[in-house]
Amino acid sequence: MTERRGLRRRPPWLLVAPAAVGAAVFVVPFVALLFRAPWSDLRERISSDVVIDALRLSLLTSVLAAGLSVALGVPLAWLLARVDFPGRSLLRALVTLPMVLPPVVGGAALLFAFGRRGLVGGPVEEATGFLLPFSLWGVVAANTFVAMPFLVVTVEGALAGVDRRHEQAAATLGASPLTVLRRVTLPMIAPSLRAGAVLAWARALGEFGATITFAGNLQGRTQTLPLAVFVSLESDRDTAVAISLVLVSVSLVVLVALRDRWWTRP
Amino acid sequence: MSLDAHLVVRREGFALDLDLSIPAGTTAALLGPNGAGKSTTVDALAGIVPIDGGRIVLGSDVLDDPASGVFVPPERRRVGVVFQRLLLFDHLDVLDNVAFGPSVTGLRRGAARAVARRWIELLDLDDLTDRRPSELSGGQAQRVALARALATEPELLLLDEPLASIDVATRTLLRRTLSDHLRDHDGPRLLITHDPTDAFLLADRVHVLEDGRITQSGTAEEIRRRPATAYVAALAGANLLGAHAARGELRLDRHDLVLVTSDATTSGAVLVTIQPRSVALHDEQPSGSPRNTWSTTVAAVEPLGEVTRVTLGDPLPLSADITPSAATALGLVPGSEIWASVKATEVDIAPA
Repeated sequence: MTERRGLRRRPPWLLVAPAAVGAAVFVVPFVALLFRAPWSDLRERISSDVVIDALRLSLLTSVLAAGLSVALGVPLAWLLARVDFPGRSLLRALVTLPMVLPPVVGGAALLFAFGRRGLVGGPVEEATGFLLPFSLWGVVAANTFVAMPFLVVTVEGALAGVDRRHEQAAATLGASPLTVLRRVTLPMIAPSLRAGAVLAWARALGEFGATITFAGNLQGRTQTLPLAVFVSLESDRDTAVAISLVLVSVSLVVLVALRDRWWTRP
Repeated sequence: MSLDAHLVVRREGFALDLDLSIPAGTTAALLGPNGAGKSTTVDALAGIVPIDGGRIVLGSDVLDDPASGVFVPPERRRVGVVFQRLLLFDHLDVLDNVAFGPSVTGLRRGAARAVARRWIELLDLDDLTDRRPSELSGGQAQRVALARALATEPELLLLDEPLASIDVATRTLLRRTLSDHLRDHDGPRLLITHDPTDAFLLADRVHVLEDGRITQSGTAEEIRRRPATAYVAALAGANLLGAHAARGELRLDRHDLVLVTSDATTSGAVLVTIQPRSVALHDEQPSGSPRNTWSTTVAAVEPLGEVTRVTLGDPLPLSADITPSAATALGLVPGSEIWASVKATEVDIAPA
């Protein structure tokens, strides 16, 4: 009984007041967007070629970037968590750098590496004719660059928390290190892996700076939703607001749908 | 197929150095207090921790030999381990936990599950195949861990404190299950325990491990009779007697004496445990409460540091631990006539 009554106690104002201000930081801009929305001709505005192209490209590239982040980021996180090699701390810092770096700087760095006259890009173009910047794969590369750190950090943290005895038990049952990772470790950290993948996807979907710097802003090829918003803001505010609403809706639907099923531990 | 091991593992402030030979088809027990190096021994034999010196040979295979650079990783050793914390996989049900070994060593899922089902049946786990480890009782989880280890058909079987986390009521039953399956296993078996009862009931040979070294080896009887150190005396010196119980009365199998116990519910064949410190000695017949009182003679007196161990003669050759000053006061020498008594509450019985 006491516990139940205790639950009904009022939370202290010293916490409620700053929490309310904190919530307003998120709620007010979103509400403003809804107020400013051109509801009367919303349909036409978001079914224009520009918007449809950008939406399709955004969904495709963000999912590809999330997939690439998982495929490359999980082994990288494993290496950082489990193998003691010289320069590990430095590599860990480099991997997390895109989380704090302005994306524009990241995009510029990508250009110097993979651009036509870049460190890697030049020789690769000479040999194969393939050029990464200003292509769909350039968008994916820029997205992966900013998104993968979220996956690596989440998964590495989870790996550090795994009870190694379970892995050792699996080894005594005949499992090779790779099998242990696949059949024991990854299932044990599945909730964190999913959370990391969703975070990476969300970051990729919203990516702007690195994309516009490295991949440009070509409608249908490299113009993602955030880029379309940016371009429209200059010329046609109503369309910008309409595209923003699309972006907000897609993100919200996915995050809310996944939150209950994936983010909470079983 | 026997185990021949000389293990040297060095840690900061600790060194393990022991010789262990276990013939095929026999069970050895490693008995020792916490921190003696028991778990390190398991890890070294399983290949989780490489040894710093010595050699591990199982049958004709050298598993670990730092001198010649041989180290076989755990997944390629035919060593099955039941870990102290069991370490069942929470993301798999009972069936797939047991099928894990067979499936990672090459069998397809269906075939691996068929193997698992055989062991599950053998260990009476049929009703639990769909359960997750978190839904099992301690005794059930223990049997799953045993089935999982046996399903890989190991040559060496390692059991690390298999009964430590089991409640007393289940322990007797599980000990019998363990005993049966240990007997069925052809290879060498090693039981790690801090409980002398488990060691004496399950093992053919007992090795006492203290501070990284084996301080005594022998059969349970030998160790009990002649404890080499104060630890063994205190821990392994318990008097174990076979008896038949009925309503709190114990007819001893090999001695002409009836003891009384406070446990009036257990009946049939039992194992009686009396701790040496529970045996009181008096120079004349004690009056008052002790219901188990008899006159006897002193067979041997042995100072073991903090206690003096007195071995009694007929009708019941018990070990009694008393303080050195009490021994002096009683003037005990071999042949002294004295009275012995044990409270009914100090006479423990367990179904044998």
